[in-house]
Amino acid sequence: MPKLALLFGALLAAIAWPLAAIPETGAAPKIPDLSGGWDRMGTLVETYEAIPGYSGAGPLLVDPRHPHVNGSRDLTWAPALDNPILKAETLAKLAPIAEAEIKGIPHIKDEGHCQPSGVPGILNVRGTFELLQTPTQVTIIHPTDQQVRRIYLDVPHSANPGHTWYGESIGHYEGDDTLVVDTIGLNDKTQTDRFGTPHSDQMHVVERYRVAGDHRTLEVQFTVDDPGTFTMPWSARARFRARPPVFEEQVCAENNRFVGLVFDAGRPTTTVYTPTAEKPDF
Amino acid sequence: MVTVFNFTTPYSPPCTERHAMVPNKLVRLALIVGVALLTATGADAQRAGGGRGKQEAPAATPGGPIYTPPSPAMNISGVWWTQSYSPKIEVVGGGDLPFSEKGKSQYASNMAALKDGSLKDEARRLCVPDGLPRILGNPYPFQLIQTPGRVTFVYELNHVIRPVPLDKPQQSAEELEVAPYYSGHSVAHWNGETLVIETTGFNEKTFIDATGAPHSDSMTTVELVKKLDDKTLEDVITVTDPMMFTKPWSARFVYDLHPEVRLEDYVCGEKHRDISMVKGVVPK
Repeated sequence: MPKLALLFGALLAAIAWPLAAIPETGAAPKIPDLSGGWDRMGTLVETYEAIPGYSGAGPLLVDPRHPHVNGSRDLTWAPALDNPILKAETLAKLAPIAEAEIKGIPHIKDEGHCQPSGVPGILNVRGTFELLQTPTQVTIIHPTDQQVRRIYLDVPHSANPGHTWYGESIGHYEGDDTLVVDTIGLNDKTQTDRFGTPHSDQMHVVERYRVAGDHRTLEVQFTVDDPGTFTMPWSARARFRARPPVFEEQVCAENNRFVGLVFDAGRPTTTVYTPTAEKPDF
Repeated sequence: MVTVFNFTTPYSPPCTERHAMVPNKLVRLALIVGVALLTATGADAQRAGGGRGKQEAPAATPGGPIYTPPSPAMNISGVWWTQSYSPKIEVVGGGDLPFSEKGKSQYASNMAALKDGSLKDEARRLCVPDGLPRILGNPYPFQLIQTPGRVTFVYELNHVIRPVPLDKPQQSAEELEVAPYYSGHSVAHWNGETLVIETTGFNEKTFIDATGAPHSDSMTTVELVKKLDDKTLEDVITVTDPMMFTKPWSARFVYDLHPEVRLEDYVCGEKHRDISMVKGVVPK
């Protein structure tokens, strides 16, 4: 009897072995499939969420005394300013923006000026974005003013990446569901979050794009480290649902959807600037 | 010289041209059926998985997210950079654009208005997209990205994105009329090792070239994109616009592969990369 069982077991193993081995053959590990369109989900789609269960420092969140309610008349973007991540000088810049918001003078977001939203700000931009994957690069294309981010895979950072709107992003895959993106070399012209928190050009952002097994959702958890702006690194998340990648051509410079009263450089203003070339390049 | 371009059939409307290519059509049909079957299987699997939402949740890309070119010639991915720039578009075969009477007068009026400033070249001033065919000759590098079912043109200039779905029907006439684009609406298919891109649904806000040559919103274009060798790519575009031109005409653009170049962020009015070495560029 034991002999028979052993034989049966060996037979099963012989059948199962090649089956089990099939996904493993072909050498290269499975590349996480981040294709398709992704659209923000959550209660407030333009601001980051705290990571559930995470006890470390988290993002600025809406001041509960001045809620922002999607679809209502109450559209204030005022953060709770008691978050310990804020350095005194950052708080000094942010407080007047928050006060103006509460008075009904909104500050305009980066894409409202037809300028890039930077990192991690692009995670807050409305619209369905796509990740185009090739063996050496992931390109994020966003219909909102045709924003593009490039992530170079499996290479080190440049010695002198300079300072640009999206910085220099390098990435690698982890496991069969995650893309890790490391970004430095950002400029200081973009807002860190929807509240208008400034940042320095020393900001370092690490994002982890994790796609769910059923490919219905994508969660991006990220950590922001900018000693020039924040007292400590903080982490947050943004979640997205899968959407058909219907690409819409949106050109902000001719059709700015965000024109309105603006809070700019510490003063209320109605001026929205659109990037303009006084003289053509060629 | 242009030897690849078949002038006996410079242009026919997208649908008839497709039907004319029987062997290719069969291959395409097989592909469509294959994709449909795979998609249906994915949808069944989702239902079986007890997914709550009835909304269109697209499945993962069948076969994975990475495109594998069937041949080296069909690998057109990479950063490409034009060999030369010309403010005035160069027509294949030489000569001037075959303007209609309306085209001629519109061109004259555009040139005068650009000169006196009553008409602005918004592609340069506000960095709105150059549109076709003007963007094909721009002096900045661009990247072609091939993913399953798609070729995406990502231009450095004005951060223009031009998604080109493969083996998909063109949008409905209504949709094209409701949402005309600077870059138009493109669909493409492979004919052998040549990518054939058909584009329609343009707005009329762009010029044919930097001199202000006009086109109407009824312009249609067909591009034949093919590799001349490992490091050279050609795009021959045929433009049909009976409103502005008496006959279809073509222009040819040739690009070199630049694997060492990374595209840069491009925001209007900022200092951008040096393009003075591109033949024909006169920095302003």
